[in-house]
Amino acid sequence: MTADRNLPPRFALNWLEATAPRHLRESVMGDLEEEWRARVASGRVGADFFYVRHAAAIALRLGWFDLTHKQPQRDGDRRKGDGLMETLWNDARYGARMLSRTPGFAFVAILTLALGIGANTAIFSVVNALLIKPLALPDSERLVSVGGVDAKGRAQFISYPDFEDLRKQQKLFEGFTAFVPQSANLTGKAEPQRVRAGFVSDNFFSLINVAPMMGRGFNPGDDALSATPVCVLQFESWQQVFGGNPAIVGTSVVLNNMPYTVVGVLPRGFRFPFDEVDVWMPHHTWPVFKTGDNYLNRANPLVGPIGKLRPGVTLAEGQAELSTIAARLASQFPEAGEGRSMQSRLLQDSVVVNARDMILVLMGAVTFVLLIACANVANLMLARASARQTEIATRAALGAGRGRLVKQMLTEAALLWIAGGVLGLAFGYVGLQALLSSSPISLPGGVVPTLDFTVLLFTLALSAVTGVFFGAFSAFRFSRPNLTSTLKEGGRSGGDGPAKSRLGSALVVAQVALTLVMLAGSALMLRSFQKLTHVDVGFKTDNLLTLEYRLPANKYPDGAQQWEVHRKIVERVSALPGVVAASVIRAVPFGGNGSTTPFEIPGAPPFAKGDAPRVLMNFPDAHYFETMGIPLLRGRVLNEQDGPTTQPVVVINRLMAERYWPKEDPIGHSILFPDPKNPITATIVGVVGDVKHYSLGDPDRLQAYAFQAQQPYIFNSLVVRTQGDPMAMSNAVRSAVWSVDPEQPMWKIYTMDFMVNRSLGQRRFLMSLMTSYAALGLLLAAVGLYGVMAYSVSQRSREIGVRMALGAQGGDVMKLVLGRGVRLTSIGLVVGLFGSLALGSSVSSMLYGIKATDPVALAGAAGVLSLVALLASYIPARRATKANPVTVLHQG
Amino acid sequence: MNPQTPLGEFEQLVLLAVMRLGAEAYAVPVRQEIEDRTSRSVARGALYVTLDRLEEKGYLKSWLADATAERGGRAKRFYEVKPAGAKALEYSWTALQAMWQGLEPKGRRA
Repeated sequence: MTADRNLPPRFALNWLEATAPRHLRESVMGDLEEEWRARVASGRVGADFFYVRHAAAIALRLGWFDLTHKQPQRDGDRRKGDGLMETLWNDARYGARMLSRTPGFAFVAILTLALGIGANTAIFSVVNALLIKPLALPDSERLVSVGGVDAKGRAQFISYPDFEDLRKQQKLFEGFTAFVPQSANLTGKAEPQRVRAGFVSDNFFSLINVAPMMGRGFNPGDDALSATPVCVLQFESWQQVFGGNPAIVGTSVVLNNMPYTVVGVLPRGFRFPFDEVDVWMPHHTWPVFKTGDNYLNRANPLVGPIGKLRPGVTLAEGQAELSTIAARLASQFPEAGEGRSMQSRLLQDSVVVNARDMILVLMGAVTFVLLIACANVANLMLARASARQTEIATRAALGAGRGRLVKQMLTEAALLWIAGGVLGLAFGYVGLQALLSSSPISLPGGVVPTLDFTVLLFTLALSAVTGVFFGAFSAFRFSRPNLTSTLKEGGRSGGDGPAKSRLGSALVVAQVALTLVMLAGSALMLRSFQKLTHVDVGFKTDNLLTLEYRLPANKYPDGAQQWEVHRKIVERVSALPGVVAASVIRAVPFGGNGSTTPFEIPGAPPFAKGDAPRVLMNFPDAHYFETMGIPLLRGRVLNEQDGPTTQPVVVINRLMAERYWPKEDPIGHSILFPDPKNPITATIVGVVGDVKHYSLGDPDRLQAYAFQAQQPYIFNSLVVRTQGDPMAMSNAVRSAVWSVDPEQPMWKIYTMDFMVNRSLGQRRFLMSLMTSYAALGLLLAAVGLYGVMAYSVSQRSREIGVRMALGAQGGDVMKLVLGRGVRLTSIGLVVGLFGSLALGSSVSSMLYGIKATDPVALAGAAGVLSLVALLASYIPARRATKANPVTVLHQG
Repeated sequence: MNPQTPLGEFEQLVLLAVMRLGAEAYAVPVRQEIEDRTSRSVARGALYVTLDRLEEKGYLKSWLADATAERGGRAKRFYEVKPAGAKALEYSWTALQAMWQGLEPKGRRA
């Protein structure tokens, strides 16, 4: 061979040599080298460049031609064909033929892979939408939500004066805006309607950086107390509520009984990622804001600000500034809460804070499913490889190189994972649609999981990783085919070395361990769920209809007027035929509303500062406890004699009575509610049972009820006990309310059973997903164990035959075979048990009434798994005992 | 007379070039001949594919010979038009002639 400097670039030469079809290789390479040599005279660099360029072009053209046009079977005699592309093509065709010859294997392997990949794709789509993809807002990575924190670290809003000072004193933020979502009454149309309003500062739209599609956003000054009220419509509400009226800007609408001028409409697709909003209104027009002197009171938490960091400022730097300002305000105005502070987090993180744990647990679960699936397919391939030993050995004996065989195996594995990936993507799509339609994860506005490019890439990478996994497996399996022994034995018992059978065993152990972790996780959730559904909520939930409404404060400005409307509504609804009783309460249980308030007990030592307990305060009418079926334990309930002018009275719950008056009767004692403007000392007149207020998983809470007549308010919930189906009464109830005020909208018209059930939605969803993934894992693991046992039985058929011929009984053989299955399962169980204990803490926040180490759940999971494993090993063991020794030995 | 698959235009050019070159017909001069006469550039890969396909159809035959030092000791694959190839060319020519009858090259009626 000539020296390198007399040759074209080596890599291009090799590339062409490797890819050109054999029958053309010599002439093609000669031609190109001839042309290269003719060009060397006028410049070596140019000639080399020429060679590389054309070598690549020719190789691609010939390779493609070969792949797409040739039919190697027919031309096989002429083309030996081991150019790269041709080989790949042949391998793929051969692999597909081999797979189609064992359709059962191909079907199970592809389905297994697709299930694993599909489950991952669906869950990852949600992870992607929630945790990876930035919010669909400009500069969303700089948006932060700010919350107040009291001395005990409890989250709360911050007061308006603190908010104003924060805006004035900060330097690292482009600005802060208030954001409060609350429903508003839209009137002046055929039927009064409830719209979802967002009350924001006048810099909101410039800070969020969204330009209205029509008209303008808020201008500086729009949020001033003296400003004429204006509002901006969300695109969808402009379309649906206002019929897409093109002349809407400049018109007046009546919201909360006050005229607002519509100044703009937002572009289609704009979503602010918290609650859905229909209409944007200035913060100062939020009814709570101007109630009394709410907005001037530094102790009154009113604002949940959203801020935007200046470019280049990190969250930590922004937080440091917030902490400094908050500390200064706390020491300057200690009466509004000593040691209070402010906490910021990225808007993106605060949006997903509720769903995050759940999503990550699910992601973990589907990863386990995929691992189990991979182990399964690997096991299948091991078993199949053993069955194919004769074929492989024959090919090797006929001159196929080891590399060639490995390549063939890799191609087959690649075919499997491509098919599995494509089918898995389809499964993922279906799974995602199912997830979204059941929709128990409350996804924040504008967050829509889709199978986008990132997800595709993820699925592709996942398939590739599994593909490499199998590829490595097959390559390992065929690295050194033992020709003589295999061919001599005629592939009868596939002389598998101990290393390979150890590998199969290790895979089974891993599968059992992974499955146990999943089963334990789902058993924990099942047990929690079961405990939750047996929780006593403290009242009768059946035949109960509820709804909410809010009176316009400017229509009914004083408390007596408000109470009069509420009282009339209850009166009219109670009079309806089919209604057993009706009542109002400020915040109905399971409705999501509710507030706590600090209290003191006169005569008792004061609570430690910063550690004062709060009581869940609610405001019912006189018949509420009776309507709900909440038992009166002591004293009396509130009654009509308790009025605005009489001594304030309060009813407390069992827990409060037992905690603060453990040895005496609380009736007649008083409680002080130390509102700085309007401190109230109320006399305890009764004790009622504990009620679950927010969810079935609520811890026992201190609860107190003050009579609504004594502290009326605009917002109320109506509860109606009906004789029959509560929903059937809804229209009659609405008409009854409208007979009091025809302009009064109502919303959240639900049955109590529905609301209680809904509060379980997320848990039910998590539990059912975990259980189905665990069941899938169990099924796959059972298939895996069965496969390994059946394989080992077939391998040992000669040994078993000899033993039986020498007099071994069926029972002995059974013991022999089952023993291995039991051993593998036991090891897997022990490993899995440690895994469950280690991973228990990750689900503990999702459990109710049990610990992550709950022995019943763990034992149950292990029991189910053992049973299934035993069955999976029993079937092949039984088959082994049924084998006729004569037949087996004849085969030998 | 009627060949199973009519010749494509590029196939005709290749067959004609092989005919013109006679004993010197291997890929390098074939490409050169087409480029010189038609003033258009010919991709090497496409030429190899076409030569191979024409041989497969039975219009060309080929043999290896004449390995020289300039070619790194690699043989040239020489081509020769077989009678079937000549026939196919003739058919194409006749068909074109018949279609051109009465037309000027620029496409107007004579």
